Amino acid sequence: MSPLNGRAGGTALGKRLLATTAVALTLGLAVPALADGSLVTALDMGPGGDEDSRPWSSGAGHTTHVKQFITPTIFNEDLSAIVPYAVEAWESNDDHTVWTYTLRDGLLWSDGTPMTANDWAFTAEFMTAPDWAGDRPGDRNLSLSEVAGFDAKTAGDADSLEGIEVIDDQTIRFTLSASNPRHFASLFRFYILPEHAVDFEPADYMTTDWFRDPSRFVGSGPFVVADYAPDEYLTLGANENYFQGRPALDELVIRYFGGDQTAALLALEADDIDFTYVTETDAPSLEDAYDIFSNLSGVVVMTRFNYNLVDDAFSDIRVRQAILHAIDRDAITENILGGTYVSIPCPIPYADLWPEDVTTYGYDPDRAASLLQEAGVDPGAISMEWVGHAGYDNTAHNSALQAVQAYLSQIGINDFSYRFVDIPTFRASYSPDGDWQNQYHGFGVPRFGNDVGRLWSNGGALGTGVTGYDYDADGFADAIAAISAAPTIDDYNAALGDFCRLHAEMLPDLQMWVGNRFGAADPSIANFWWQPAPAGGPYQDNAHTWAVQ
Amino acid sequence: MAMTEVTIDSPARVAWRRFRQHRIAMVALAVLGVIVILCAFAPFFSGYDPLGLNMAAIRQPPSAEHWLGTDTLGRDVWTRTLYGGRVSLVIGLAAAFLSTIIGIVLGVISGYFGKWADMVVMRATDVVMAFPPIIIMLTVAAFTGPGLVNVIFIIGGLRWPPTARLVRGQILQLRDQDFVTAARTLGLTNAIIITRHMLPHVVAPLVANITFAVSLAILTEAGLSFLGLGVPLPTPTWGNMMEAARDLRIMREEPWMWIPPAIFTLITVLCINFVGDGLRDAFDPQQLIGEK
Amino acid sequence: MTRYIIRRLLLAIPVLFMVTVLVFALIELAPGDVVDFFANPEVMAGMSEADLEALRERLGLNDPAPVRYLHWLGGVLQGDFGYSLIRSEPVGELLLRRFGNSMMIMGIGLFVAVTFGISLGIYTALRQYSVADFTISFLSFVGISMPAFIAGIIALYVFSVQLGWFPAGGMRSPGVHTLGDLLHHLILPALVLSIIHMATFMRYTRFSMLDVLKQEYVVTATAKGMPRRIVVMRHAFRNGLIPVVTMIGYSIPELVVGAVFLETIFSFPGMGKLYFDSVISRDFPVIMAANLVIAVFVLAANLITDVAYAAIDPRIRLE
Repeated sequence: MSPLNGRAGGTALGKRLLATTAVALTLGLAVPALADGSLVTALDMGPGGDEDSRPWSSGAGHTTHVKQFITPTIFNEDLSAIVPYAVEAWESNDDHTVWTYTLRDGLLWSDGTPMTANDWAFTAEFMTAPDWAGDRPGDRNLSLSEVAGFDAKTAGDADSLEGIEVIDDQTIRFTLSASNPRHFASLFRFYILPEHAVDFEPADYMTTDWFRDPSRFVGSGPFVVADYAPDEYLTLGANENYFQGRPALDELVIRYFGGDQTAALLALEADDIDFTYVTETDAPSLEDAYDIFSNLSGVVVMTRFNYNLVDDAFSDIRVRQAILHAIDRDAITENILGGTYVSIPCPIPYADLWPEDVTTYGYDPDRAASLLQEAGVDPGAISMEWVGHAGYDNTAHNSALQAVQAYLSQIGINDFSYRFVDIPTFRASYSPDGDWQNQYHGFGVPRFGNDVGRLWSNGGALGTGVTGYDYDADGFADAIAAISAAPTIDDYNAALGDFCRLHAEMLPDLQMWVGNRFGAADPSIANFWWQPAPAGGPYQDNAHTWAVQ
Repeated sequence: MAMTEVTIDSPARVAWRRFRQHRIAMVALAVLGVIVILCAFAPFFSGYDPLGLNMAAIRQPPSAEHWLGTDTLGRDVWTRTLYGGRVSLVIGLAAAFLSTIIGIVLGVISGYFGKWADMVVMRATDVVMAFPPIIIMLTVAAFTGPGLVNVIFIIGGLRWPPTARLVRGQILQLRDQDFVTAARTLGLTNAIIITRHMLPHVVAPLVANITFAVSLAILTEAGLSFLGLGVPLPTPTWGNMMEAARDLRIMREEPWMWIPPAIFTLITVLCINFVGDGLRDAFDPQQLIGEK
Repeated sequence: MTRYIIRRLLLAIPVLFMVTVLVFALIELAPGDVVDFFANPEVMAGMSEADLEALRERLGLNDPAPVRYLHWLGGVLQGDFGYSLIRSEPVGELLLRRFGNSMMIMGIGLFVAVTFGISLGIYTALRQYSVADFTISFLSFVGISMPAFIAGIIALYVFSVQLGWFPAGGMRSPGVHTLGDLLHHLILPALVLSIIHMATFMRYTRFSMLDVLKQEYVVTATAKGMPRRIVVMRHAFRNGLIPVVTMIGYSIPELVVGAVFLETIFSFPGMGKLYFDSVISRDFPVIMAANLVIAVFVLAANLITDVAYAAIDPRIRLE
């Protein structure tokens, strides 16, 4: 019974159900096998996943979105570059304010309709409609906020997005409100929707069934929606019209585990699924039986100060330096985090971008003690409470934080505690009247897309002044502007390096470590590829070549 | 009346005599005593610091040096199990005591006095039972923060409805029985009727109830830490030590980290249960009268 | 009796009203809202302050609390539970599905727990302090001495990973809609659930049986030469049931929402996990509606328990 017609109604189904039940019961409840070309995965597990999300309105989940839609550009396999995907070529004017993109030849939607630049323009207009109801507009902002007329359109003052112009069926032009030498890199989450098939309004974006309804869904990625059971699984079928060729798989099933890694790992070991994200503690013991995929997560783990509430002592940079010197981060990452993490000199996770002269704050308890003395601070009077959110309440981070506590007590800071709370509680504490001095959390810093501006600027996404630190006055505004304006990729990398140096010098927060993340796949899957990309990418995983052996 | 008076004279002594004859209960009491002593005087039974990290000895299996191995930070598991018992026993017993007291008082008021008192108490019970504990815990956690006392009050404060309903059910059954009516006719005060004549009949289900309340409190404490409310690490508790087994690696490959607290919890709960068994027999009103 | 039941049903209205007000107040008191959930520093992915403000406005979170409560109440009275803020689904549909799932697993779990719990309780009461009593007590206490999550992991590890008898979690095999497949998925979590609760029913049964067996009328019946089996079943059992019935009544709501850790490890989409996830994401329409359903369920269970008292023991008058 194919899932595509699994919803047959009436008495036939009833009879079949009875018969199957009888057979199943007599055969000791044997599980009917899936079709040969089926791959069952937990692709939406772990930090890159989001089981309830839809494109354009998600904090994560791009591993799944990209199976169904193509984007103009995309990360390459190892996340080291942004490469063309739906587009063939692009060019910009000299000051990088006008960008012209050419679509590939012969792109088709899954229903056989040709994909044109009009679909692209339609998507841009749809997402900027003033009543568009997406609840997480991050990807919309990433893709479109630089386009001229964005504010007027989203505010309802303009009928169309001024900066978007369809030249012909295969060519589209973006006019930006400010120069961006890497505009193509902001289009990797621009999931193009089919103008002819979208039968819902922007205001119904969060309530429509369209994205999960096999009879209405039209996509352009390697797979299309075939079956969906809320809370249980999403089955994708092969898209015959995918431009890189029909996928080798007949079905790609994405099973939902409600976010629990242990449940998913047990399902992997019971052979119920073929792939899942696994934790850093589980990964080492799985190496023999599974193909392990791993890479740097790009998520920097740090502790941030709420200067509105923090012990006065911490406004002295020497005290902050002392804390870093007191903690043997290398010993923690190597022994307690099992080598799956490395300590970092700044919130840029990529070692090749660190300037050689950056201050690293290695383990040096004597230096820590003398810094405290210079600052005239009695370590016994310092009180610190680090608060993380529940995503870090696991063996690795619990152990690491207990080790931090032990190290701090060695320099006399005995009043240290930490705890984990749920996400709204955690986020609400980032305010002038929040509850905690320190937060322990991660922040995804992809190689492209100037994300550092969101945390290390006065008007960042957390809101003006919520951390009580004046980033702009300390030079962060200039450093971030320099990253955005860097004309070449080398300049861009150098600007990130400068940011790194500045951060190490000013130390508004304390960078701790960055980890690798792991996925375990059954060796029977051929050509499989997975990356722990922040939010799930998207990146080129060539899912059309995946096959079951 | 004379007959009842005779037994009232020394119920505690009679009960104690009866309890001592109860072999399993005596053994259980002794084992419980050993556990309490081990935990209370933990420093005498272990040379390690329960919070002392040892990077050179992490995740070590049991050895002569570390009887029950070491945990992810190289701390001695035997030591942490003993120190963990201090917190867990206090939480378990105090929370069970709290919920039992609230439950008995409200259950008696409700069952004995009936009418509007019953209506009010039982509707209050309905309301409390209608809240999944997590939402109350979350809100309380936000205002009080972590701490032993908060944990006891939250667990104890939410567990009383079954006790109250249980006591009420028993009291309802007894209220119109001959001996109660007789006592009332004789002009005994409500307090005496309740404490001397009715409550002894309620002991049996209460004993079971306390047993379960203790284990529930020990296990719930660890669950609370997720909301930022449990006893914060690195303070060991049996609950948070067992929670380590959420990690598959620890569950399968390093069972020495979580099995010891699980066994201690099991033995504690079992002993409380058997002691309760003995107490039930010892206070059994039928048998007391029968002996006389 | 009928009058009593009608009165209780009428009294349920103010109780339910109070529950909704209290839940609403608790959500208000809890720090943060659903927008904070979307915008958490880890995945805030480019949302600006203006976006957050617009989102609060669109979701109606900027209205004063009483207005929001009345708006919600008005909707409910017209049968409209609203839309989940994080799940893109009408709350009514979501609850119906999750509640149905929970009922299946709870039904099996409770049936097994009550049947075995009561049987073993009677058995151990009749053989007090025997080796069998000790052994059964010991085994039943293993179930309540470890966190449900750990019990679930062990069950899955042994029966799914090692022995391969049952699927490792989930409710159905993808694309398979048969009763056999459904049952195959339900059995293991339902059994673990029943083992956790079995000890409770067993101990209460045992205790009250011991109590009742020594009552005069039982002794008399035995003395008159009635067969022990009949004495136990006809006289003793009935009267020993009150505490057991109380605990069954108490367990039902707990089984529905208290199974959150078990649902998590078995990736089973039930009410417990739904409630938990909604609370930690401040998905207020779902919390409110779910709590209302749970409250109705609790009130019904308590009413049935009280009526059962009178049915078991005619001496108890309902007033």
